[in-house]
Amino acid sequence: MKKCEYGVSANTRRLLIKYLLMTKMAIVLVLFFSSQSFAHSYGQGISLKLDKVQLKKVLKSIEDQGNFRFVYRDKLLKGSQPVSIDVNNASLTEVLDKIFEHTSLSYRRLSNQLVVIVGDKTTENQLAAAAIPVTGKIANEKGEPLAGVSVVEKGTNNGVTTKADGSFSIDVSSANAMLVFSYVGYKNLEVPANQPGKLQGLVLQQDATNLNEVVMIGYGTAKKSDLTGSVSIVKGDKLNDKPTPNITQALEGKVPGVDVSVNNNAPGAGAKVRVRGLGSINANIDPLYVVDGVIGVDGNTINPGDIASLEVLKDASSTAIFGARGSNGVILITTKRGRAGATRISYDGNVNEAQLYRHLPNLDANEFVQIYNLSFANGQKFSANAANPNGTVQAPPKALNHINYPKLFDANDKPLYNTNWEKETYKPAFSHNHQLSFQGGSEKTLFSVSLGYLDQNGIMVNSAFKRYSARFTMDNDINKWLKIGGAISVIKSQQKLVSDNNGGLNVPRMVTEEASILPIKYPDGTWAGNYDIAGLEGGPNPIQIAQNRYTLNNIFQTLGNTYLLFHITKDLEFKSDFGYNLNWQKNNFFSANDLPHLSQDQGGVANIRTNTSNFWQSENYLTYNKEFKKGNKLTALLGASWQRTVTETDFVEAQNFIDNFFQFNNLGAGSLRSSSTSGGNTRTLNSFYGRIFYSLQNKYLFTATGRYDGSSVFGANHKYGVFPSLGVAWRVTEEDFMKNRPSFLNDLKIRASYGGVGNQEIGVGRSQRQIAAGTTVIGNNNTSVLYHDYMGNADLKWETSYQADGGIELGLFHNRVTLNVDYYNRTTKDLLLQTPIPYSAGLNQNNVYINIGSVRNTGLELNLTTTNIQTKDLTWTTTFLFASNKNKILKLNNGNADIFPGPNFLGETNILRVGEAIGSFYGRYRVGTWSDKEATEAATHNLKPGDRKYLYNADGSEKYGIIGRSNPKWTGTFNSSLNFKNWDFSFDIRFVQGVNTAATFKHSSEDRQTIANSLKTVLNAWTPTNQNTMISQVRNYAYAQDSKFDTWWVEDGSFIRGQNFILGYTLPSKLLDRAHISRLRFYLSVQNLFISTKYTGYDPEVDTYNTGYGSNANFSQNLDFFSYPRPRVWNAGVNLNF
Amino acid sequence: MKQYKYFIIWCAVVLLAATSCKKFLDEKLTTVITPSSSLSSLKVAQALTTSAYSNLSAAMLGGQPSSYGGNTYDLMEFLTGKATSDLGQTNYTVYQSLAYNNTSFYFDTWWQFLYKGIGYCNQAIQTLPGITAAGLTDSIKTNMLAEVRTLRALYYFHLVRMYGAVPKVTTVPTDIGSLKIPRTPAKAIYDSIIIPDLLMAEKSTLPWRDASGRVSMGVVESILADVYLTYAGAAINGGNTAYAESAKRSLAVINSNQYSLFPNYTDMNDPANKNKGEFIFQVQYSVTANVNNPLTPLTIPNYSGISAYSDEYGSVIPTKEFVASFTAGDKRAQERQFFFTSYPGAKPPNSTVTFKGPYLYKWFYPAVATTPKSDLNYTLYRYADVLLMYAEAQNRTGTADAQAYAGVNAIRARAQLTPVAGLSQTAFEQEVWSQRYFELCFENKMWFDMVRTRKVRNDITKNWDDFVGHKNVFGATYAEKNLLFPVPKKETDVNPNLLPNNTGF
Repeated sequence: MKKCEYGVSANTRRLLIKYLLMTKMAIVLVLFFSSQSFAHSYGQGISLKLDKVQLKKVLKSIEDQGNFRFVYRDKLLKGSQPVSIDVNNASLTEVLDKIFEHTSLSYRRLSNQLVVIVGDKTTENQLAAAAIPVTGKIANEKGEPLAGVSVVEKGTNNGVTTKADGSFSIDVSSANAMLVFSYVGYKNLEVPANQPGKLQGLVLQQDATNLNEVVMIGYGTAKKSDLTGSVSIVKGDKLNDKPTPNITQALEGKVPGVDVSVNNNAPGAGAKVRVRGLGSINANIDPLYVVDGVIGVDGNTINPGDIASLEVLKDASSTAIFGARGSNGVILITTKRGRAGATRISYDGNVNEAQLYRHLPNLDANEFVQIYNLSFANGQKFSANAANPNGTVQAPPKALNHINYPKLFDANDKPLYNTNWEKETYKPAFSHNHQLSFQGGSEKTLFSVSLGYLDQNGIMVNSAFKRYSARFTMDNDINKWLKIGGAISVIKSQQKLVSDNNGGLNVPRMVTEEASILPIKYPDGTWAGNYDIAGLEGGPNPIQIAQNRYTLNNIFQTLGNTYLLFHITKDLEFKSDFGYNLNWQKNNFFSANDLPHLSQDQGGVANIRTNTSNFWQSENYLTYNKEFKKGNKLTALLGASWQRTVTETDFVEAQNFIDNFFQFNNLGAGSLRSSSTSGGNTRTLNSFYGRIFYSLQNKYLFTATGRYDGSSVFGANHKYGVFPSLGVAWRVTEEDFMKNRPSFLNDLKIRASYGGVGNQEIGVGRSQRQIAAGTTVIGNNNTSVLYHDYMGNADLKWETSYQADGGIELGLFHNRVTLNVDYYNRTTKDLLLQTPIPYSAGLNQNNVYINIGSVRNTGLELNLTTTNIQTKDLTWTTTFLFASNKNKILKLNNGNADIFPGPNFLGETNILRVGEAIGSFYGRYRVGTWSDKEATEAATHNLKPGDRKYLYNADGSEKYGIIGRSNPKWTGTFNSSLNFKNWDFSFDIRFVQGVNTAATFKHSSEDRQTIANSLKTVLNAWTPTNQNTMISQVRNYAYAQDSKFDTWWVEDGSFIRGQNFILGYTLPSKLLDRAHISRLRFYLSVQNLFISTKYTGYDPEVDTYNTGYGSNANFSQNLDFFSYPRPRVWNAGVNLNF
Repeated sequence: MKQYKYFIIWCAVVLLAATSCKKFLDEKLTTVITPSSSLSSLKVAQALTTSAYSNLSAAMLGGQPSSYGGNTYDLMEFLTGKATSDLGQTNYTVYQSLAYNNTSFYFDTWWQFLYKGIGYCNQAIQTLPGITAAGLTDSIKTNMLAEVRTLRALYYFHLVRMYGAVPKVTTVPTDIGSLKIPRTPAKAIYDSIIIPDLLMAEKSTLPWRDASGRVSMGVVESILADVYLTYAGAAINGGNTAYAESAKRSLAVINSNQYSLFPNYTDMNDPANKNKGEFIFQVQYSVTANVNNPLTPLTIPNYSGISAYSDEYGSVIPTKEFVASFTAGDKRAQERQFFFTSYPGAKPPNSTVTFKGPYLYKWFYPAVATTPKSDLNYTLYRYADVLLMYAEAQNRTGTADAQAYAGVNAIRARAQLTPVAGLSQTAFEQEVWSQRYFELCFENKMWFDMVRTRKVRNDITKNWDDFVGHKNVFGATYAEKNLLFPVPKKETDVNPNLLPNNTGF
């Protein structure tokens, strides 16, 4: 038998590989798998030849064949007639139908393996009288009743399963009987049957390290112990332990190797998620989000409250099933679904208040006047040159006094106002979040409904985010061989964004740069602003901007799927899943006609941008599952998929409005129709994929995965690519020679995997030569033009990450200590590099996508969880997560010339150079200021004492070099959870080390004066008596020294953050039972309780270039040009289950 | 076994649905045209022709990315040593002090947009002959090609004057592997592209003037006059033949009787005069089309509050020494002619803002108090320039003739200066140079004159210094290396065949 099956599977494997390479494979597959002969030869057949044997023995014989286990009350079988049977390779149904033919017995399959045998009512009642009845009730640690728990009298086959409310009743054979409770994901529990009181409140302990835990893998599930790849799991409750608007933020600090940067603190803003470093330069490197099988969902739109569990697939063995889209890691999301039994209602809600907790002080009113006047006084020195050696006496355009500014100064020329703009702009903000869900169903139909409402307000005045979400799932067993189901979720959200326009005079910038001598409004009710002071750059005050310039980002999303699942044979399934994601975004922007520098020149600006994206996918796959004797097991998967995304964009803008009344509601009211554009594109994917998992004696595990992917975005010469991977694992502790291992060693698994996974995330049309249409002015009118826009590259293909991963999983002291360590080496080759081409080519786009270059990420990930104390009342566990990543560019374009990818700020900010990391900062070296003694040397550089001093090359030019890194050397999270009786206390402390953050705002708020307010640090500027400083002598703006990205801006961005502290109390179930409440927990939490960092800006984890919704530019990480400060959030919440 | 039946039916449905769209992975672009598309109409031909103009603005008045107030225009003035700035971000000190190198900005912006202009022209020159369409007669097509070739010549003319030897690109590149084109000497670029292109355009039937600002015969001849004058100059040393060829073209413009000097300098600040009168060729801007002249706010004193502009830059300011060096009584140096030192504030009304020195009035738009949108064109060639080109070229072929004197004296007369007569060849030439110096100042002409003639007027001594060795008012001394710009490092990085760079870089 065994031999035969090996033969078949080896043969099948060959066939699979062969068919994988055929484009029309799916047709062949269907015929192949559906053929009767195949099903039979492959069937999990039972062969028996027994003559007049007791029923119990028959069942034992079937159990011996290794595929099934029976649960029944012993007495049920007593007295049944002996049976004879002779079958060969028969199905379980055939066999059981035959042997129960003349009995009152019937059976029910609980799982593929477990079969419960029951009698009819009469028999059961008769039996009940003869046995010792025992009843009880079981729940999990949270008091949620557990249905379907197996309850077995120890040492017998006598067993039942619990009902939906967790209750059970079983008749045991003796007063000394022990009951064994077991349930997937929980530790087994053994209790004596003879203690009726205790049985009513049984609690099964969740087993986080349970090796039988079932985890999602792409297109299927696997037991955790069977995994050969690197997969991290986050449960929904852990994910939602702090109030966050989306899963990207929720993931922060939860998974080693998943670096999450919450760069923007505007309400509803997404975070940047990077799995195992930066694997590409120009292609998108966001991980792939798969929500209940729907591939490529925007991680920021999903309501985290709907999530039951989330898995991060990191290595090639896990991600290769997603082929061309797997190289940046895959995040599989499983939403909450129905469960059999009484409908469970749960409510989770929280209210919170956010507040500013770090400060960036600027000059107060008196200091502003002092620095302003000093700057002009110093102007004479800096205006001196060869033709004008004594300089020119400098006077402000209008001196700051009450004659020029009667509204701002009193008769003694003291400022009338001293406004703290930070305090006026960042106010405590109240938010609340509610989630209501229903989960229920019968044996045949399961359903869930969940409703969510989030109302988040930001500390920046007028910034807000609202989301309404509804989700419905249904799963129905139509009959033995067909199951249907699906999910649909509808999400509507609106973000009110007031912190746009990075680099411009936006709200956060004006908080620092607005002169503190100004009020918000004058007594007559008119706005005050820098524009009231002659010679100032004239930015409106932050409150005026926040009220009169904003974007409403509306998103409406319908996401879901429907599936048909055919149980073709007991072992073979076919699933056909149709998924869709209809996403509609409409961004309404308004900027009033009285905001200088922003929209006054245009007479007001309003625009509307819509973006619709319609996605569908058809996933069709066969799964074959077979367990043999002695822990040999085979799972095979073969599938085909088609996907299509159609996007459309429109943009209309009008300017010059007679009144701000209309905002964006009537673009027709603007006299200038400044822009109307539209665009759209279609992209498609066609894939064939397969996976074979084999477990040899439960000791040696093999997973071979492959995907053959075709994408429309690639060149005509390279539409398809192959992405194979292999994973192997050795469960050392299952070995015979380990039988005598020390008792503290529970589990040891060693894993290794290797494979090549792709990235296709570039824009449409990159492979084709393009002629574009535009306009230019001829004789007062816009006139159409056609020009050569883009070079095209018909050879364009995937970039491929070749990743090797080695891992060790260790369980010690009854798994109270678990350690997971992974080392990876991921080399991305054939980078989809936006390669600069010579300008002399004369194309509009002076770059072309070429598969050239290579980058390597190597890193170590560690997850150490220890249960330090475990007693009846007290449990204390700690988790330490650690991840290090080293990124290195191995090769760029031909000749390996440096590439400056931007974003530029007064010149280059970032560099791509072979041998260095992606995200390296590039700039000058500031070493101090020139002292009076160095006047002669300073003059050779055209500078004077008091000017900033930089390093120079031998030829006299300024030295530029790599002056920092924007990605951390290592990150870690320390988590501690303490449960004492009904109390729970936990905290997360996050470490991000070996990274720089560039305080680029120093350019305008420290390196120059007299056109805006400055940081308080200019009080430490160079003066004849303070020559040992990094800050140049203040002078009026006309003589500002050239200011560019330098080492003084690039600060140490390492930090230790008190991420989240939670204190919870769960009411005792005794109190709750009467109210039919199964669980009620109250908690208080605080996010960002503290931060320890040397960074002088608001927060070292920042990126002000990605203020737009979902923007994730690769190179602007840790560039801070006036950020939306991170708030501390005090939160109170409740979890309630009925 | 009915499950098989349904299962197979379902599979068939799925397969049919998925494979019914033939060529599932073919990419069809809908917002851009791929070269395989067949486009052939009069309008397509017009659009290709017009594309030749679309980089004029980006090259001549191109904003410098990541600089506040930086513009390609700034570079050409800073380098003369006659300009300074209110804005550190223009990096003006680097250029005044001649401390620039191959990574300094502006150089790459100029290079980029001039070549982009050439690329668009090449696409048109390559595609136009193949288009046959109703209404597209041979003579229309010839004139279209004349427009495009004239502009290609203009882009190359700027390139060779700035960088010397440059890559010669005359076709649209299709092969990624063959983009690293080495440099061709400047003379060969003149001989094989600039001059032939213009001579071909000269044979067309383009009208002498074009009210919409397109290339006319006047433009072709003016550029040819400039090209031959420069060819005759120090860079190529084309000799007297080139001077004669130059004089022939400027005379043709004069004799066309299509152009005349504006009576007042401020007529140049009036948008009603766009493409009219003295103006021969301008970069087109239009408030109607919402494409505004960027030079106006750049030349208003920094945050002076005299306009409706939120941003008043003061990017380029004449040095006091330069303004002081005008001949006494020269109208051009008087208030609100070419310069101004005070102006009514835009708020509160009726107050006058006095600047710290003279600022450029030449690019001032008189309506700035009420609108932050300048409707002025930016002039590349005007009649005064042609008159002076004729005077200079003709004088070199013998002695200055009556037309040469008439031209110079017309320009002097407008400046309220007395006429000149009977000058020696050298004295007449220096008089022409002086008039170019004063008349065309801050029109991006002076730098090209400096490298063409290898002479610089010394604002203090009022002598014509040799270029090499001249010391500007900022104390920097011009050297041989300053005659050509460095080829930008960004370009040599991706095309190492351009190395070695120009001497000194």
